[in-house]
Amino acid sequence: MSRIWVAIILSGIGTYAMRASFLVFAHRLADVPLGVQRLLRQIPPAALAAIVVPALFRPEGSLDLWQPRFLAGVVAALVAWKTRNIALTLAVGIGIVMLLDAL
Amino acid sequence: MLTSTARAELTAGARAVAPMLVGVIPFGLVAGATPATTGLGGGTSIGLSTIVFAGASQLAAADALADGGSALVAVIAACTINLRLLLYSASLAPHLAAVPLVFLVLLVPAISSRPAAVAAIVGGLVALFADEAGAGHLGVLFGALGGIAAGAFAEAALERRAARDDTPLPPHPGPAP
Repeated sequence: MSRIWVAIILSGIGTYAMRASFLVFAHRLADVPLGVQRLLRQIPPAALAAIVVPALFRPEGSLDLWQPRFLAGVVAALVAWKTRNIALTLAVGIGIVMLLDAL
Repeated sequence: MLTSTARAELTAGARAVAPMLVGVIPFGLVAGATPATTGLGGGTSIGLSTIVFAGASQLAAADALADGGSALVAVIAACTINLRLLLYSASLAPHLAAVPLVFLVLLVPAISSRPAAVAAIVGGLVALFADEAGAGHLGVLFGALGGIAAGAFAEAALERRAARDDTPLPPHPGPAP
């Protein structure tokens, strides 16, 4: 088997295992200690921020705040906070990036 | 046949996810086009997209393979990026939901309380510094772990404060003069 297909299949197995890891034990999660529940609650905001913040602050691989993505992200965050409307947030964010890129 | 509750939940889920497609579709196109345009061929695109099925890691694996890296290098790159899926799995396990796609627009609704805001701020900053320090694919994981610890700490602190405030005060010595 070629190098490429070995890589694809092993990556697929590893990725599936990581996704399945905790879900496999989900049925036992009814009596999770409060401290662990507290940790689980932090995962969505922490993981999302860890993905989003570098993408906004250093899209080209070095810290740079004077660029369309950061400005669009700030405005989109405000729109999301005030309206809670995902479609509007996307439209505003994408629109600002496209507009500033075109200028 | 779906029960009416299941159908209502399905509709609600589809409606909630629909706006994400604006971001998902272009990213899917990129993930599919990258292997094809780097000389790996369309078969690699289809293999990665159906078997690995995790956008950023597909791009990393395709990069490694296109640069002539070994299968092991590509697998390590993909699996390092996908370590974050362990965290998603843990957070979703209580709901038994499918793994969601992650985009900026989800961040703000996820910040529903002060501890969550602490988790998001610390997670974002740690990831930013980790990237600056050259942590590469592990930056997201470091950021997430830092944010989780900070958020849990903040939540515990708030609960302690609330418990203290709810404690009945000692009996008042008497009406003030």
